[in-house]
This record gives sequence, structure tokens and C-alpha cells, in this order.
Amino acid sequence: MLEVRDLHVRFGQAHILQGVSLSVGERPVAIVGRNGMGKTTLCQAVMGLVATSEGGIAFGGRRLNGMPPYRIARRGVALVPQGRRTFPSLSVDEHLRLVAVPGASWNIERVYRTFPRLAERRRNGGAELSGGEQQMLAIARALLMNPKLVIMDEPSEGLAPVIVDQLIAVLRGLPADGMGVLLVEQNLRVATEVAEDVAIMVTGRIAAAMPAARLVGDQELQRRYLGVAAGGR
Amino acid sequence: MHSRTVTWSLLSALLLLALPWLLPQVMPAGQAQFWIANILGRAIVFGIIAMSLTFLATYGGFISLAQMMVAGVAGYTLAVFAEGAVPRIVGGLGYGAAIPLGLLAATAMGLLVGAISMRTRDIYLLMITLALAMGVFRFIETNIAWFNGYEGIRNVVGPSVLGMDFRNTFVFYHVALGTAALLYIGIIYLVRTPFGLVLQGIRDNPRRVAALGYSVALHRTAAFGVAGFIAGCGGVLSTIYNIGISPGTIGLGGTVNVLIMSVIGGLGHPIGAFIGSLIFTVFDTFAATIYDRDRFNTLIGLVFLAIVLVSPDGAIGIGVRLRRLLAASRR
Repeated sequence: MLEVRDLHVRFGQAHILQGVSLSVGERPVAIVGRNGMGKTTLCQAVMGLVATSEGGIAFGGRRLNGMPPYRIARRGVALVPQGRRTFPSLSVDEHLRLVAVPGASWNIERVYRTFPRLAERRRNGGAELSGGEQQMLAIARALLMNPKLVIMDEPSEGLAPVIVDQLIAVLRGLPADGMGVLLVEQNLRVATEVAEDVAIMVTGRIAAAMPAARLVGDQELQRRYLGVAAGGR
Repeated sequence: MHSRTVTWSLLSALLLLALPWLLPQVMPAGQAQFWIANILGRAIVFGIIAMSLTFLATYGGFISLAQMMVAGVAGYTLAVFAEGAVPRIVGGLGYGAAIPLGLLAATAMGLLVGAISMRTRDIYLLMITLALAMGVFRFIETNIAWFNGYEGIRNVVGPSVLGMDFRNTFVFYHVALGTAALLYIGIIYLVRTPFGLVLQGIRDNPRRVAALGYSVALHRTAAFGVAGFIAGCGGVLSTIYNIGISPGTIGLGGTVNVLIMSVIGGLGHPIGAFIGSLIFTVFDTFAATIYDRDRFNTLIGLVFLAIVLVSPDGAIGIGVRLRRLLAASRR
């Protein structure tokens, strides 16, 4: 579905992505890695939010480089950005109506069934929600676009453990809707429970890719690439 | 919308409709007529133009200084094509055709302003819209063949519909009021549609709106087109009100006046435009008698300063604060 080939992104002198290659198909893929390794930049590059200097991004056989973000979104890519980025002045209901497509598989009713908390808060503004509610809203907003691929940038960041469990359940259900998932996570548990394949990103490159089960079982790998102490998080 | 808001809006609408009959009960007939025509009628007409700016500022976050110029484009189109205008430049069209043509021209000019200023925001948007306004103003002022230059075009008396003449103070007042109410309701409706939500999303975070699949440029330009239509309605009414149009109307003075009305009324809600234009018109009319004939601008400046200092969100902000104070004291 998504094919990234030798992708480079530079911000002035800084060489952020140094030749990333990655492919996402039917099965969810997770990218893990420490802070500052270029994970968010990769998400933004796929969405067209930052300019790429070399390499290619193809989605469904179509080249995305240089396409404006709104066209990429219309081709079926949705991004749940890091830090949620809900609109402070729109209510929950307005957020959903902004993107909802009548009659689509994910519609407003289904969102309210899946996230009952959002239904209770439908009249509240985006700035009046808790972190977990904002995250649910950001995910719901992406799902309502009924994308072919949903990219999630650190969805579990700052969430209470019980909310994280809910999040995992929602994300595990997405492939059943025929949605591809590219999940960027620092939380190893979320990454490995949602995705069967895990790629590890180090200084702007994919340093290793492996089945999730192998990373979970190998603490030496975890220590080397992620700096996680024994026992993980 | 809360039912109480609806009740209040209906009550104020009824009160405004009945004013031409209510005012003569409390003041001499001549004075009542003066208030209806020179204060309220004028305030409504300028309020419409100011509302086109408030619409852009409140929901899109775009401060455009071109709205008076866009209104002028409608007024000049009307004056150029309407039969009976002096001097006759094109003429030949009845008001039934010339007015829609004026509105069309203003909408097109609004779209053009939006397209030209598409990539600018904040102070740069302000400067580019000001530059466009001044460019059109100078072009009209110096062009004799099409716009009769400095003197402008006179005798745009307005239509007479079903035996009701626009020169009649009460007819004009009610037409202006009806137009303002329709545009106001239209805006309130529009901002709840997906288009309006996208606009508010752009104000909060344009990059996010783009990532959701909406072209920011297209929606911005369309918003300027809508604002152009609104300003055009105000421009047509003001041209008929003044029985003509001259370049002075759309000069720097007029441009700044519209900005002042919007700001003292408050940029938080479209109704602020009308509150601001009423305050402005009252002071503009009476400042010479209250203060000093040569220094009435000083008084308007002081009022502007006072409102902006007391309440950065204008007269609506004062109202909101008073209500909160009352609610707090009741507890």
C-alpha cells in the first residue's frame, strides 16, 4: 500500500531522514525508536507536511512527493498527529461533522458507539477535553475520513494506562475495516500489541525490522536500540 | 442555538422593525425621521460592510482592509450601469439588472482579493489588502472616462418596487434592515455548515485542515468571495443612500472607518459590526455639537481608545463581562 524508498529530508543543515525505506501493506507496521530519531518527520513527509529532498513515497502505486497535503488526504491517507492538534474553538460534534462522509463505513454514529465518552462530550470545545479525550477525538477524526492508511504519531503519549488499553483495542480492530496502519510509538507495549512487524528507527534510518514477538523477547535488542531498562515499560 | 437567544433575536428584530412608528411617540416627527434615516439607516448600511470584515476576522482570522473598496466596486458598477445616473457612462440598465451586476462585481472582486492575498497572513495580509484598496481607489479617482474621476457619479436614486420608492426614508430603512437581517442569518447558518467549520479550522490550525483533506487556499478564497458579496450589498445600499458615489467613499478614511466600527463593536461575533457602526455613526453625527466642530475626530479617537482599552474585544466584550458580573453578584 505505502512504499517509502530511500527517503531523505533536510531542514537547512540538519539531515533528518537519511534514507528511510519502509513498506506498509495489509498488516499493521509499528516504528519504534528514541526521541529525535526522525519518526515524526517521516509521518509528516508521507502526509506532505514537510518537503522531501530525495527518494520516493508511493501510495497505491502513485507518487506522493510534492503533492499538497489535502490531495494526499483525499487519496486515502490520514494522520493522527503527535500532540493531537484538535481545534480549540470547534466542539467535538463540529470536529466530526467537518470530516464525516455520509453513508461511509466510519460515520458519526459509529464513532459515538465506539467512543461513548466523546458522545457525552459532544458539545464541549476541543480545548476543554482531557488528554485522553483529545486523543480519542483525533483518532475519530482520522477514522471518519475512511482512509486506506492511517498514520498514528505517538497516540499513547501522556495517556493513563486504562486509556492506553482502550486505545490498543481500537487500533487492533482497524485492519478488520481494511485499513492499513502505520503506528509510531515510544511505548513498546502498544507498538508490539498492535503490530506484528516492528521497524526500529535510529538517526534517520530504519536500523532493523523484525517480528514484534522477537523484539519483545530480546532485552539486549531493546537496550541497544531503545535504551529501555530490563522489564521494559 | 439556545431558545432564549432566538427569543431575544426575534424581540430585537420586531423592535427594530417597529422603530419608525415608535420613535415619533417619544420625539418630534422631524427628529424621529432624522434618527431613522441619518443614524439608524446609515448605521445598518455601514454595519453590513463592517460585517463582511467581521465575518472574515471572526471565523477565518483574516483581517482585510479591502472591504470598503469591494463595497465601492459594487457601488461604482451600479452607478456606471444604472439608467438615470449623472454623468451617463454606460447606463441603460434598470435597477433590477444593475444591482445584481454590482453584487456580482463585488463578489468577483472579493474572490480576486482572496486569491491575491492567499499566502499572506497577519500584518502582511493587512498590508496587501490595504495596498489593493488604495490601488483601486487611486485608479477610480484618476479615471475620468469610466468613473468620472474625482467628482464621482451622482443621481443614483434607487429603484421603486411595487410603488415603494427607495427615496422614502421608511422604505429605505426597512430594505436595509431586511438585507442586514438576511445576511446576518445567512452567516450564522453558513458557519455551521462544513464550509464554515473548515474556515474556523483554518483559523485554529491551517496545516491540520490541509491534512484532513481540505484545500486551505480554495476555502480562503471562497470566504473572501462570500465577504465580497456581503460588502457588495452594503456598497449598493450606501450608494443609493448617498444618491451616488465618489472616490472619497472608498479612500483611506472610509477604509479605516470600517475597521474602527468592527473593532469597537467587537470581532467575536457578526452582531458586533452593527453595534460598532451604531456607536460610530452616533459619534460621527453628534461629535461636532458635543465637542468642537473642528476637532470631532479627536472625540471619535478618544471613544475608540476608551473602548479598546476597557475591552479589547469591543462592545460585545463589555456586554459579556457585565453579564458575568451580574451572574456573580447574584450568587
